[in-house]
Amino acid sequence: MEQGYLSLILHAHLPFVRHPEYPEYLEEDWLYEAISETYIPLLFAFENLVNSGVDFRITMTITPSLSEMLVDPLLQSRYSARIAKLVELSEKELERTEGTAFESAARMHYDHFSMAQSLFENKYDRNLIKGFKQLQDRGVLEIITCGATHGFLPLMSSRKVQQVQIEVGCDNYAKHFGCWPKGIWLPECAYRPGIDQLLADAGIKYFIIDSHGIMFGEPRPKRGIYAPVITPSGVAAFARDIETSEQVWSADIGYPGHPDYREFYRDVGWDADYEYIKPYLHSDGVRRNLGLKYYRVTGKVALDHKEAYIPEWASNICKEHAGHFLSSRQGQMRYLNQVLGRKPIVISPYDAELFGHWWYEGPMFLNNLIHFSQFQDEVRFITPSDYLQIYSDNQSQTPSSSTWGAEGYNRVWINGGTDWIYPHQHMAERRMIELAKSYPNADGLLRRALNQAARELLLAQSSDWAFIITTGTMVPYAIKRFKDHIHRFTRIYEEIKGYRIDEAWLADVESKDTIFQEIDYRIYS
Amino acid sequence: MSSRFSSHSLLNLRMENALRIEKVLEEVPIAEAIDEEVAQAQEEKSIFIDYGLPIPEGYDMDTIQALVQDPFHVWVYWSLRDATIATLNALFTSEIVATFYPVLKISETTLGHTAYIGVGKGGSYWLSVFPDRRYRIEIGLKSEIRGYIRLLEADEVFTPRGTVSSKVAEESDYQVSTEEFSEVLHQSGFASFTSLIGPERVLSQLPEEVADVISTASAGEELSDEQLAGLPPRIRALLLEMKARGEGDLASLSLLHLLPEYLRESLSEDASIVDPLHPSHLSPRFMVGSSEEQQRPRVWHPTQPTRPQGAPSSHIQAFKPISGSTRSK
Repeated sequence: MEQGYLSLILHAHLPFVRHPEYPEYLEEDWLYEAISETYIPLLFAFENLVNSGVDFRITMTITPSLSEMLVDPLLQSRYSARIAKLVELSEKELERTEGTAFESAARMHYDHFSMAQSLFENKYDRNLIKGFKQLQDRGVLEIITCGATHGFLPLMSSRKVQQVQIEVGCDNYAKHFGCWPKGIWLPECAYRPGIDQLLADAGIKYFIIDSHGIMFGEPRPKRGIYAPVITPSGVAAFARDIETSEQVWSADIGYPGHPDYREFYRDVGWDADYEYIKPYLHSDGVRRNLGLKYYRVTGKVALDHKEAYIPEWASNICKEHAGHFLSSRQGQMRYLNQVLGRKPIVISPYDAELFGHWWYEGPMFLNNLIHFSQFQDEVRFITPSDYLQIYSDNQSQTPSSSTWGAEGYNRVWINGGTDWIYPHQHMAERRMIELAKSYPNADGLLRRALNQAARELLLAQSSDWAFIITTGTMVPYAIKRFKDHIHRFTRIYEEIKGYRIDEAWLADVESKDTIFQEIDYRIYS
Repeated sequence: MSSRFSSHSLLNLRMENALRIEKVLEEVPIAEAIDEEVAQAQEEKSIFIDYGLPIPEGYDMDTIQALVQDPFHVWVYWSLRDATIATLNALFTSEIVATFYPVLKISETTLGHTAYIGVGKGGSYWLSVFPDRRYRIEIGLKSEIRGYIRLLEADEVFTPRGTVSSKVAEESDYQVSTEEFSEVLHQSGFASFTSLIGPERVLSQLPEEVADVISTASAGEELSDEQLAGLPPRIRALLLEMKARGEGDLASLSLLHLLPEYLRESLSEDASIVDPLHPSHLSPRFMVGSSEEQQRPRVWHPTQPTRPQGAPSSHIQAFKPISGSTRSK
């Protein structure tokens, strides 16, 4: 008997990284690795489930910046070259590892990359958006949108620029998926009272918020995080479930840390003889991850004490974990149904890139979980909008300000290491509004300049730059990106104000920051 | 050999002024002075790191903006143009104009406390604040003779409550008793209800001296020397330092700046309050970057497996070819 609902939400996001000025660029690898290890494996798993007649519903954010990269011809062609090299390398590895403990992992890598190449080139014509859209059209996925460039809304200078992040995000969603989004993933789940009104104005029906957003909201939520609340604007807010987050995400107790799973930090790009691996590195010859990993987590031991990865062992434990997750949900739903007096909804949101890229067996886990769910009737997989169809009457509440970052508020994005960002960002925001109001009917070169100024501002607003600076990974790149966009915006602003637009320079910038070709700068007026 | 060149002092120089390293190295004839640290420092200098295109240092405009970090901290930045400050010249004599200086005026509007902080014409400031309060922050000019003139005001900010609301729904369908809500909290993965009851409860658990100061400050009264003497040394030192350099009455300053921080520290010591609801996580989006900052193993993946130096005996078993499909668990 049905006891409750599980809503898996996969948040797929990468910042817009595209460097045509270089033949190869390290940070573009974020996209290529995610395509090989997350997006294609997820598509593959979902397609197989559908073809097997499995009935399920999953919610997925595909952020506008990611969508724009997935349809970009330059990035598509670069990924095509990259996956071809990986197929070549993994084929060579079959021979090199023959008769060793690594043979089965080498075979797994070869099969994986060959499959990725085949699906990318043949099934999806290099355009993965096509695959996700098909799954949505078939009623399996509910794809939701996000802020245009994952801008951190509570730290922006005005409602207008917050509104533009949301509206551009919705418009871009319609461009790629041919319909209007029902839901939105607020960038970093960052909410403060009033943002819900912007969502209502954009026609959004629901959004995802962190647990304490609802638990600390006013008035007290009768059903805690296991039912949505209706914000003052009428938009529903669904809260993240802590227990399911920890089971999958926690570095200490989460599934991905099991000794039999593939170890992320041992990669053939670092481990193999240099001359052998050099043709597969970037032209600078610097060692880096290539995605072929032969060791398992093993336990809390040094990297040189890791033991060989055995795909079959990982597959077995992955089934156990999926079964454990499902049985945990059954127990949770039974109890909550009894306590709350209504079937609960458990919202389990994760970064999509956790599945496959960070936790290699993650897509397999999802596949097992969904497959197993067909053999029981206590837990049903639905989307938040499905829930609103089932229960249209929900408690009214003003949620509390909150994010899903460490400590639950804004510290990850504004602190002593990132505060310097905001005066520049806010100035650009004010200037963009000023430009839009000053030139309500621009055309020709001026219009191009104004549209590009809007792109540069949106790119500068990405929450990823502050996030990277705070977490201490690839910090120079995050600083570079923020400064590059502020520099370009400022120059465009000054050239417009000075009636001297440098067309050649503008064309160069347009060729680099190509995001949102559809944008109309007047959205800022 | 007390005059022997020290690489450590050289590294200190590098921190202060990289150009001076080159000069010192040329003047030191002792080859061994260039040790490994220096060589590394030189190597680092030769690597180009792209930190992006130049951006303006400032914008020569009047502005003030306040941003909430969390229930205990607000960041404010401001900038005043010289021309704006010069408008005083039209109103006062030059002698009186000279008595004005820029101040931040911080008003806690929920309870009505106000403090002034002397500042420069541009800059930023991290404020320690209370949860669940509204703050209005202005930049203005203050004179002991002529008082305060407001120039700019930031949008009012509201700090998150940081705990559960005491308000229960008005609709009967959604009213929840304390016991029921405690159970909901528990099931939602939160700490026990009693530890989430809010700052008021935490205040009651503070040392008596601190609670006494809060009580005095809340009443808008000046703190006595005896009260100051009873405070923890760090808090007392900070309080006296602020009294020496700041403006406004001491009680308001302490309330606005010091005691919330003490409260925060008290909260931080209680793991069940700090962040029971929100395990911190690192987004896997950028793991490609972090992986490259990992310390790599000294023994690399061999073409033919061998036992790494120092590996436990069980390690060698992992390199055996896998012939079966199962293993005992």
